[in-house]
Amino acid sequence: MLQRVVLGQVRFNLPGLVADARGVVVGRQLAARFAAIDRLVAFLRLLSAEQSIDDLQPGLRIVYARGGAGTREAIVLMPVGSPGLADVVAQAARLAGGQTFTGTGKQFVQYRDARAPLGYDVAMLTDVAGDLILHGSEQTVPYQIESELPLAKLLLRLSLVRAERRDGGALLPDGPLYVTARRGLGPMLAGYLHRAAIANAGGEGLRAAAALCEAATTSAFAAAESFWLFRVDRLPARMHGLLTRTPGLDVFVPVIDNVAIAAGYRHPIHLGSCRGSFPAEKLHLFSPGGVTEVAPLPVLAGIEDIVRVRAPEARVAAAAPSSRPDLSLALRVEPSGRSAGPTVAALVPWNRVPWLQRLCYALPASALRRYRVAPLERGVLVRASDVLEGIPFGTLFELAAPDVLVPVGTRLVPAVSPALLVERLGATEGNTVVFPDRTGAPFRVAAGSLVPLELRVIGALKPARPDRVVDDVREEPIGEPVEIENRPMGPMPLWGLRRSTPES
Amino acid sequence: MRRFVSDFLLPVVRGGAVHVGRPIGLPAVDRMLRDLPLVEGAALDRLAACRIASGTRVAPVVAPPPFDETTVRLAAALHDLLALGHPELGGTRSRRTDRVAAAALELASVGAPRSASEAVNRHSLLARLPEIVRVDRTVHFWLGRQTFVGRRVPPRVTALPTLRRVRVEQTSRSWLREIGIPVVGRQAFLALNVASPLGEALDPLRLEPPIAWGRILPVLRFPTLARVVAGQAVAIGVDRSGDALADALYRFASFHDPPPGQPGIDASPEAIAFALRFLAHVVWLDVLFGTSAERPESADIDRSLEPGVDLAVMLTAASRTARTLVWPADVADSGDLADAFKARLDALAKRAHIHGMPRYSAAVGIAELAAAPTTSPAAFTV
Repeated sequence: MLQRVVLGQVRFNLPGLVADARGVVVGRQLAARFAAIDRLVAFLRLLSAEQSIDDLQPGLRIVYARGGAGTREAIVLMPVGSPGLADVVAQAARLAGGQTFTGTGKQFVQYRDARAPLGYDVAMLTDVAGDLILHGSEQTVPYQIESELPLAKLLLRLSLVRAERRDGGALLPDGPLYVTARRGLGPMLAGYLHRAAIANAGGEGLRAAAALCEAATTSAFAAAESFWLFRVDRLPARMHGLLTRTPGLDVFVPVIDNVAIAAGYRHPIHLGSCRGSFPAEKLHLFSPGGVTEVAPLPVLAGIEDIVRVRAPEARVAAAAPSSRPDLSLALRVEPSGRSAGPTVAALVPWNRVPWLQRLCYALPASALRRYRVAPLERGVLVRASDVLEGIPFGTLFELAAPDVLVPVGTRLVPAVSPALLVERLGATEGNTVVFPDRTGAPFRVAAGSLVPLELRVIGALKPARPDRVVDDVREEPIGEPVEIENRPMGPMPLWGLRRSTPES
Repeated sequence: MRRFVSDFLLPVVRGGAVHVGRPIGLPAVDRMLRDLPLVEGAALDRLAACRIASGTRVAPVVAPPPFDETTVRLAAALHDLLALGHPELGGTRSRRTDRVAAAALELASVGAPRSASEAVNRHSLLARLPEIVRVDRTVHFWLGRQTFVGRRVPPRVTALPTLRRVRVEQTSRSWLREIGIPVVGRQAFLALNVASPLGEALDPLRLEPPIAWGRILPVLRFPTLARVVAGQAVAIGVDRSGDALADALYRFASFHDPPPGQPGIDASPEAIAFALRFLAHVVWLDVLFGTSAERPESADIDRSLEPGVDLAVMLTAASRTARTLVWPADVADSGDLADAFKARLDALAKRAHIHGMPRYSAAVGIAELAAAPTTSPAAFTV
């Protein structure tokens, strides 16, 4: 028999009950009772969305208990950490179809509800045997605990549920991903990712690392199945279909540091709030077929260290000609150790042209007039009439001969006369010959291609258009007092809010 | 779809009952941007008209402020800050309020305004933030009493007033000044001030959180708005507003405002010099247009607790360190105006000497930092 707690009541028949600041009766523990396992899972899902389950450890226990009538039920026991927690648990349990009790030790009384806003107390304690005694408004039921289910085991046993398709049709979320591949597919996937990473080099491109792992086995006689594990950052959207639809490849989305779930699925329980249930030294990969545990945590190596490097093929040496030897030599660019003259030009690659644009805002007027630029296929060539200053990036050039440019710190060998160089290379009539580096072939820039920098940077100016006169802007008087009116928040008021990270 | 514009945004700008309900997160912003113009078109028009009226108080507004993502985010951040005091959240120390405060911080982190019109548009939304009040009503009746925090009393509670001896007490308190921002929401409120610094700049006497140069400098760099802020400082009173700004300059120059990791401009010689010149500009305006007469200072009369001492100390230190910090380049050294300002400087110096010497050395250090050339190593020493 239960009796409602009244305001100001401080003595209770059930041991362990106390009234909090609001006058609500609560014990040191809560017990949530569920008739079926699916209701228990629903409760944990609702609770994990509102509350971090790690905060309830180590007191959280899930037990199977048999009641007086012979029914077997699941009971969740947890400590009461804060006054608001009990209400959260009660709401979640009610939504999941369970009942909430509060108490200490083995005696529990029904938690408060609409009929008893401050809670219940027992009229008198009954002397019944049992591991748990739950005093409800209808009856008092003693329970014998038959077994205990660790939360970690429950989390590993639950099947995944299909997730909703993402907005915009994207198959995979942004952020890092894990990809597992059969042994035979691993090297090919590594090479594919490596080529993609090279193609995107220089910007915010794809990065990948991999390791060869073995799944944990339950038997010492069973051979562990090995597989490749890749961690991919910034996977381009165009690769999503390939990775998700290729047999032998499985994609996983990390939810916490050492737990990942198969793409397109979600776990019934918010695993982000159950970090403590997963050992830090194991990696857990949840897939529709089960959970793969990798222990210890794999050490991933960069993809560039895994891709096989082919030795260059040995070419058959050409037979030496039997005719007289020719004295002509190829012109070579060699390092000279020091600069022979001032820097007169710079070749800025196209991916650095935005820097050049920003720099143009700071260049003095003399520089804008004296410098000439030519947009080329490999970049923008900036040439100064005397000395190039203020451009510290790109490839800098000095003069090896009039209108013959070589990288700063290099020289042309054999050291023929500058006039001969100019004549033979065609650096006449204002043309400029550029040796871009020590190995590349020289190229010529026509005189007409070089235009003053100030002409290039100013672009096409549009004449300013007159501002319109606005005389039809409507105002509305403001002056009434601003008063807060708190409205009911409803159940689950934090639904839709992101869970804050410990750093925030 | 929640009537966010009619029930919350419009009352915040125009006045009326501001409905505070379920907290709003960043994922809801896109949904609201998409659906609100369809559902509340008329309310949006009225909101734009009210924002024009609000913005016109500080600067001419030639186009209605846009209803964009920044507007919704700032409004949602304000809503979540107000929700921290909602009785259903379970108090300001619960885990729920941590999440709500984190959501408010995420929403408010839009950065400082990039143009004067953007600053005015944002201010038009939050201009009446200091005027928000919460009315708590306690109904006494024959069996006890019941308190409604920020809620209207349901009619059933006040039914049969004579028989049940019903008596209603209500207390109206300013949300910003009396109730205050909960500690958990402080970061979000600071982020809101960074997003709309004009409100803070126009309220230099605010006690908590106090005015910070790191947050208001982004809006003072727009000449139009700097003039508005200076005019407001003169209207409040040069001594009182100058003291608050001078006090904030000590914190700014010692890198206490903003704290490390918080948004805002860090102190640099140029920023400190600008702040000193702004303070001097306020005094110039008072010399030109003010009506307050300087009372003669005397060592026998203790006026150290009256406002104006910190301003006097700071400007005296600045004028003695580098004249350019207090004297505009285009104002002549002679003439009636120059004489009047010199007289004011002398009065400030006398007042600083009598009442403010403990802080004078710190003020001199700040002025030297501001006056040091940027290539000098001394400019970067503390």
